[in-house]
Amino acid sequence: MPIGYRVVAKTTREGIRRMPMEKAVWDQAMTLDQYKEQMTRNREQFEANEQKVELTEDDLAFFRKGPKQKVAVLTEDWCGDAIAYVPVLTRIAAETGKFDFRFFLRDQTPEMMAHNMNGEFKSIPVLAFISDEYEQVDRFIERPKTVTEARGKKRKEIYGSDSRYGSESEPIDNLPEDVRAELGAKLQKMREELQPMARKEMVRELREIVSRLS
Amino acid sequence: MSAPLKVKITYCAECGYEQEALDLTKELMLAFGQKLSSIELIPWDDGAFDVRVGDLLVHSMMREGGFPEHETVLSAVREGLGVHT
Repeated sequence: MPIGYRVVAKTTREGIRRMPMEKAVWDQAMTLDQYKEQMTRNREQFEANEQKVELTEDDLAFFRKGPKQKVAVLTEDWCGDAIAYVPVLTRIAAETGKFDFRFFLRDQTPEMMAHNMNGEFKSIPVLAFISDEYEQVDRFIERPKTVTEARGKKRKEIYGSDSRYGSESEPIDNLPEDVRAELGAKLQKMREELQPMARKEMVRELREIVSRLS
Repeated sequence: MSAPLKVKITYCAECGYEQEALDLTKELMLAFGQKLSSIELIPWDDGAFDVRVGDLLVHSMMREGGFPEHETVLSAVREGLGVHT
């Protein structure tokens, strides 16, 4: 039987699915160190991203004043969003001691993924916030909405900058290989340039979730 | 003899769709072997998973959502090759 959740679910007034999690599942899941040990790629990038997180004194004071929060992290080491955003959580935890987390691999925990689908997509990372009673009470999926919006706006600008790039809605294989490579490099650069803003937005999202739970 | 037929699979590398792309590639290789002129894998981003058989876009994650049924792709290839079962 796959590890994950019991099948009983309740829904709060806010529409957040409260999902009981077996304490034994939590206890047996990977710690951060164990997760890092089993990573086969992107560990260096993960740890570099932890160092890049900029936390203000106000951020630190905010996280330090609250109770310790359990977070089940559903992730995979190949996922760009997971490598970008999970380190924000682990860095805050290292600075404040206010998060206790366990790591689950998406492709080995289908039940947990099924309860945290992003529409029809198995988007990760999922940060499932777990109460002292081992119920999932809140969650974060994939990336901050503000980052998705900013990326979407920048993509439009890039596509609009050169008629050879065609339209965003057209399959990319329509483009000649050299144009595709040029466009791909511009999109990659854009994502890299947005990273500082994205990390700040992630801190903000985590503050919002912790505020909701307080 | 039918004209050369190429299959292109564009997948979101950022999303980790390599396995789905490889599974489909393997099935096409085993089913059609040298009858296909080539199978091109295009790593991309933004949640893409598109499959083109010849000039026909058989599946687009943006258009249809999700991953394609393998049989849908195999069937399009059979048609493109003029193979009737």
